Amino acid sequence: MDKNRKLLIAILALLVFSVTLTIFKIGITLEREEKPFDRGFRVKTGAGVGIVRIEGPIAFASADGAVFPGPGGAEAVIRRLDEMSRDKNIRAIVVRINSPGGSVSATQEIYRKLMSVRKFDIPLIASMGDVAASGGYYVASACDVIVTNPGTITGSIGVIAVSPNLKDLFEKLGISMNVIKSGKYKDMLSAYRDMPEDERKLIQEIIDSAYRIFLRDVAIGRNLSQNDIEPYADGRVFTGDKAIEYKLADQIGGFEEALNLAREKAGLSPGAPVYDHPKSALEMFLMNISEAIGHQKTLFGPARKISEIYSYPFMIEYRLVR
Amino acid sequence: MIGAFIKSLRWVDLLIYSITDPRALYRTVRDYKNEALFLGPVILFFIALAGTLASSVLFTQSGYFYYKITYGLIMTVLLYAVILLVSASLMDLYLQFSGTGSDVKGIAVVLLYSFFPMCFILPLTVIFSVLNFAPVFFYSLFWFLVFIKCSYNAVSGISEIFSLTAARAFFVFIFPFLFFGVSGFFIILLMLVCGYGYLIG
Repeated sequence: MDKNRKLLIAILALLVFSVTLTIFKIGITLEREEKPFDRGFRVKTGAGVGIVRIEGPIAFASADGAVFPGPGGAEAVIRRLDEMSRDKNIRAIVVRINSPGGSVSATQEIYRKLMSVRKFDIPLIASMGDVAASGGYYVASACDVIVTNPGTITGSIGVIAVSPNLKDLFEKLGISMNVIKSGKYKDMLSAYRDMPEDERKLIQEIIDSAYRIFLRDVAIGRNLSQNDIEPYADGRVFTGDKAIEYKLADQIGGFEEALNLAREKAGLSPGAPVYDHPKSALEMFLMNISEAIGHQKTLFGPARKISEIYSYPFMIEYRLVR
Repeated sequence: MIGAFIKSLRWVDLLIYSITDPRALYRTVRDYKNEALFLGPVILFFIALAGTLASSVLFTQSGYFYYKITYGLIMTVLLYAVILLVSASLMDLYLQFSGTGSDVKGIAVVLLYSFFPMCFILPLTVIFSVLNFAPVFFYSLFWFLVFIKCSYNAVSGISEIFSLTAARAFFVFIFPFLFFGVSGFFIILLMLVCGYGYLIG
């Protein structure tokens, strides 16, 4: 084939590919803008409701294997809240929670940020998805109003630290650990030996302290006394309608009801725009890939859990145990 | 004749020369002016499509995008065609006044094919848009660089047609810009004077 023809075919292929990619990218963003609750807003302008999404375990770290590391997890949530509290167009915020909880510090940091946003007189509405338990509920309690589905799994007010005891397994496999430590308690929660009573007592103190903070913060957020909450704060989970009965949530409803309530509280018209977190085409693409890979991890079930716990023995969490 | 031109794949050379060798572009155009001009709307369509998509991919699009890519695209092609013909006519006018010669069709064809590389703004922009890495900056940068390349093509082509020096060919190329710039300046000046007179009168 003539050299020029080959070159032209390459150029045309490049142009066709870029046209396809562009239309694909524009198509994704168009689709996102026309979700049911956005219908009727072709161009978003003016005062409206901002959305913050808290999905999955709450932690500071970004997702494992992120291609472009950046602020992820709790940091991203805090940054978004900060941006929205300074944006004049955001008159109310809906915090969409679908989380079983997470690390103590990350949860507390989001809680504190939400409490500071409350001081700006921006109505905060928590909308619970499938699960808003433990740390997920902790975060929700910082909002002015909690809207829950009747079947949402919530509650689990408590703190947990889990460490496996693999001593017998190690012995069976003939594995022994060489530990050089600066102090007696430096290898607390180690999986290769039994836990002595004094260590258990120390860990229990940490757990109790974190639990008291949890209880206090929920009481402040919900305008209740700690005595009102304590009977249900034994780690139990309950459904959304029970949460309303226990005064731990305010009304039954889904995401759309939460949006309408936010508009109402902010004095906005029923058609006021919704500012959701925009994701680039690449972000969505990588998210899909990472989800696909995540489902195919080599370790599964208990083996993965042991691996996680063994990697991070000091994870003391506000989390619903799965 | 046009069918034979398409079959002969001479148009492939025209497109390739617009990227690689602008002087060879005119040497090829010289023998196939009518046929090359016939493909003009296709070239204009690609340039307009690439330009519209490249500017659209930078921002989140609303439903207005559907109008932009249909009616807007047709309007852009027509606008480019008008700009091309007016610019070629003004360049030819200047060349006739300066006694150099006249070849309005040749100028139009050279301008048309010289600006074919403007299509490359799309692939260059879309990469940075998908990566979300300063897409507006890179769009502006590439637009500027590609426009310089296209202008260089056009100046080389004009220089080849009329055997002009590069400096004179450049002046011929910018003549329409100068013409509209100077005319615009005087029109605005006239309007200001008239407006001022009306207000104090």
